[in-house]
Amino acid sequence: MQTRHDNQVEEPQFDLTPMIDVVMLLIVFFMLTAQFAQSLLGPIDLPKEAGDSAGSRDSMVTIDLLANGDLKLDSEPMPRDRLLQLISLDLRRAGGSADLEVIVRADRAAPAAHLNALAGELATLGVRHWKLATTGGQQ
Amino acid sequence: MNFRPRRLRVTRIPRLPLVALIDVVLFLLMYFMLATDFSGEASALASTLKAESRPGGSMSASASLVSQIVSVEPGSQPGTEWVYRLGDRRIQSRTELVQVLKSLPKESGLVVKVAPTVPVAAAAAALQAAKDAGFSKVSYVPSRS
Repeated sequence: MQTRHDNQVEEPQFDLTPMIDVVMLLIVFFMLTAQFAQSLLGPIDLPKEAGDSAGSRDSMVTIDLLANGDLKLDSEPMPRDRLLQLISLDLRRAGGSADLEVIVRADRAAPAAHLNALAGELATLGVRHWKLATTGGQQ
Repeated sequence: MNFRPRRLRVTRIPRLPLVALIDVVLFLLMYFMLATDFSGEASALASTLKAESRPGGSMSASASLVSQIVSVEPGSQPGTEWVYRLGDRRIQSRTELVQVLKSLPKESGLVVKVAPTVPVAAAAAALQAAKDAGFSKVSYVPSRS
């Protein structure tokens, strides 16, 4: 016996809602983690120069030089001696100055005396090449 | 006579999947709210300048290199924060410095020496001028005087 109910052919429906949820969550996650990774570098008023495009190596240290001369290593404030000690360790681990990329993010208003002192100390450690971070656009 | 009941046409009410729409809108809203906060930092490391440190600040370069030293010194005139010096020549603007540097031989590189009292921006400007002039080897000499 066939009832009326049996005659209604249900169209197969694919529920997209959970898939869209998951996809959007993943997109937001990856976008935000990328943003957070950059925001770990504290805000510094960098010199406004065109510079080169920033390359990325496996071994890279970022030194923040604040306007008052305070230093941060990979965004962590630390005394000068400790910072130099850690860079020395990084140098040894990287197998030499050529394999370690040192980027100095210096406040553009900081007296060059601080940069000179840091450059001198880096040279004493054996760091022969370093890069001065800039932000695009000439002042 | 046909006694079979007519097949009733099932009228479906069109439904708009609002749940998915709301999800998408909320996630986009969340993304833009959070991304706006950090967008200023996105280009912080977009560009860098190369420099090479020489220990001690002593000018042990050969005599032929003397003319290839750019010193950045505090400006003596009001409104001029810093000036560049190449040998005996004082250069006020960066454009002029680039023009002068372009006429120098590039093989031996360029030494940039920055006075302690000028801001870091001056050091960056000198390094950028060297790069703009075509120098690939730029040495930064820590100056203590």
